[in-house]
Amino acid sequence: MSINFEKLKARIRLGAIVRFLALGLALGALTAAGIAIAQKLAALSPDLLLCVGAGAGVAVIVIAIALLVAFPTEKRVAKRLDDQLSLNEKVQTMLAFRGEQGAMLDMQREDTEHILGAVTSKRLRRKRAWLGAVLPVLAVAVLLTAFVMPVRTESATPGEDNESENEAWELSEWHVTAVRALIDMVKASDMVEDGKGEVVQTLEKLLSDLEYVDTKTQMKQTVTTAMVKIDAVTDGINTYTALVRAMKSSTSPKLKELAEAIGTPADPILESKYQALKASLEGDAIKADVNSLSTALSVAADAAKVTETDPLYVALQQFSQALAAFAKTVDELGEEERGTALTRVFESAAEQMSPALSQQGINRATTDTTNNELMSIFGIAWNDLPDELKYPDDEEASTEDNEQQEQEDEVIGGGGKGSGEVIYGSDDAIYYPKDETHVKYGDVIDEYNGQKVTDMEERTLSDEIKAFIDKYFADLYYKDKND
Amino acid sequence: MEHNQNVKAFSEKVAKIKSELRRDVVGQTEIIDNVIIAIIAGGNVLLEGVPGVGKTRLVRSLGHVLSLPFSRIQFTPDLMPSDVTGTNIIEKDENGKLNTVFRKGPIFANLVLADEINRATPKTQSAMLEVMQEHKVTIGNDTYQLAEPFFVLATENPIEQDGTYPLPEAQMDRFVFKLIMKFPGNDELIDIVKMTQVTMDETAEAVVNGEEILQMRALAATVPVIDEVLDYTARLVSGTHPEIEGASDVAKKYIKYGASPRAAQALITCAKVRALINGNYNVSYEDINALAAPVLRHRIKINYAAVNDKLTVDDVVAQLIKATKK
Repeated sequence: MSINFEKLKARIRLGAIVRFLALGLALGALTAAGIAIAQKLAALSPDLLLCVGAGAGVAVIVIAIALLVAFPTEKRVAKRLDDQLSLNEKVQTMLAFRGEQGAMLDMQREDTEHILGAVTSKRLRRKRAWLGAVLPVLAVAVLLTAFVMPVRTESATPGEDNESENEAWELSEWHVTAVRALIDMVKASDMVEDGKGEVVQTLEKLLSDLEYVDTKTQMKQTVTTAMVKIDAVTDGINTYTALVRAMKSSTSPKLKELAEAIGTPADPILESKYQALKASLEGDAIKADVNSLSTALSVAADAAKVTETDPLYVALQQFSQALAAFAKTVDELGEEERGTALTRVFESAAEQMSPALSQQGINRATTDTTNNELMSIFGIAWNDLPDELKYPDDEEASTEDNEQQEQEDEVIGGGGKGSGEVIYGSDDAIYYPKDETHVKYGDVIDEYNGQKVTDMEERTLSDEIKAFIDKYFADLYYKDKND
Repeated sequence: MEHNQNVKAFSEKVAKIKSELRRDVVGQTEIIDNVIIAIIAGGNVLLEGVPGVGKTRLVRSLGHVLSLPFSRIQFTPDLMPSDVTGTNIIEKDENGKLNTVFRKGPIFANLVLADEINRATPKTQSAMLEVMQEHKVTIGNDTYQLAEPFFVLATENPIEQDGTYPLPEAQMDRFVFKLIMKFPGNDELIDIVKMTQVTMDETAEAVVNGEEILQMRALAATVPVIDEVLDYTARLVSGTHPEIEGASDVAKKYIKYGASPRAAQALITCAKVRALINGNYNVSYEDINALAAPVLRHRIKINYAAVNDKLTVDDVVAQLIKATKK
């Protein structure tokens, strides 16, 4: 075959392979970039393996198809040369009749070979060859866009700060000081020592973890993780939930009443319910009822599978034993004596349970306060919390309480100390510094309102701040959810 | 080497023929080129043109240039077939014996000008058929072969429709080309007048002979054609038939009936000659497209839709070329 044709054929084939590779790689890059951009727009971190894999796959498929469909065969090369160089089918004729003999054929070959020998690379260049560079350039541009484009973040709740979560963040001296103060508060609290140690350890670790955090998102994740651990400390120490759940799961109605009467660590021994239960036992079936309650209580306490040395467990078992002992003597006592004896049993039980319940209340309050302070220090909104902190699954905070809490957060939204601080409704307990105990908010709201009025008259506040404070209290008083 | 020389000689001879013909025929370049192609290809040509544009002069001049005996037959309504082919006559020899002798007609020449062929009767026209096709005359039991190369250039006058007999399709198909001689332009007319003021006689000189024409014909026949060009030619000719499945929209819309397979044969044979004349050693699409109009215009019949759209047969052929993919 013609030497010149072979040379041109090789050149054309090389050019075609380069174009196919460029096309395949460009489309592969566009695919990878497209996936990365789509993931970033969906607020997901781009999966590098998926992007690279998909891009490589597309590139391979495109190159394979291009080679199969458009590879420059000899016929195609001949046709291209004839068309591009206006050779009037000379090359195709030479190719079609190669191997055949004849004077005219020889002359045709010779003439064509001579013409092909004068063909330069420049003449082989396609028109508008620059168009072939458009796709690769576009692919590079899209790849760069995918690379530099930040991950989209979920839009913030209306009313909250909408700044980008991917903004840079750095642990400051102020943060360290605030957390150290919090550690000191925990150490000085009356929380049980084991729990105290764990909470302090968690806070220390939080500080060291935050040194390696660069973005606000990472910071919030780190802090909320620590908050979950802190909350779990009390879950591990407090036995109230397990014991009360066991009591409520019992088939004994009296035991369920007792569980209700015990109250919560924050509000233990609900007197009216306690007395009502005692009164209901003083009927004709007192011996049977008391025995039944004793047995059910002991079984429920064991079923809770708490440590046998736990004070609340011990108190409940002792209560059970005291009830059983009373039941043995009930036949020997007159009606009035029974009442007095039973009262003593209940009072004794209350005296034993109260410290245990209070201790557990202090444990819970300490970790709750710690977490609230962490939210305040690091600007964590209620919406940033994981569900286990938003909706604790224990008896210490009921579902009803959680719903009320959410509603009030919607109303207040950002009021109080820091953003997203929870404001309790009037029936909820709030820590009252003067008495160093939890009180119902409704009991102190008048005092706080009075203080507010005094401060607003005596201190220099802008009209806007005064209006905000007025509205705050109006909402608390009237629970106006529509403002 | 000899072959190279033959091809070189081919081009030189054609150039000389053209050059000599231009001494007697002003303008009409395309006509001259196509007539030369037809002669070398071994075909006959139908010339259409108004009186006085040089049809007879062209053939006469051609006769001089090709050193070939030339005869002119003026077709009239009373022309008999024997007037064309010749006839047997009875002659008394020197001994007084009566013998039947065949007196050859004007058809017995290498170049024949059949002037105003459409004025003769169909019977006389058909007498030409055998001669044009087979290059022989049969009178009774005797067959007389015509000398090669044999070339008929027939003319028909388009404006005189009265007293004419349109050529039948079978006869039209025997002409490889139909060429239309147009009225010369102003400058050409001036040149014609100047030339004929000097002399009315043809001044072209002989540059080739019949033997050389036959050699050129044989050489042109060896020019290769690739299958793609053959396929294109076949599709172009098939595309003139509206009744064929897959016919082009042009054919379905504008053509009443299409060309015969002789059209494809004529295209390829003449394209080989054209390629060689142009210095190419192979037939190209361009050769086929250039000869499509002369080959097809007298072989296809356009319908009223084409007339209504003010399209000529050449316009329809141009659309067919456009519609036929390479």
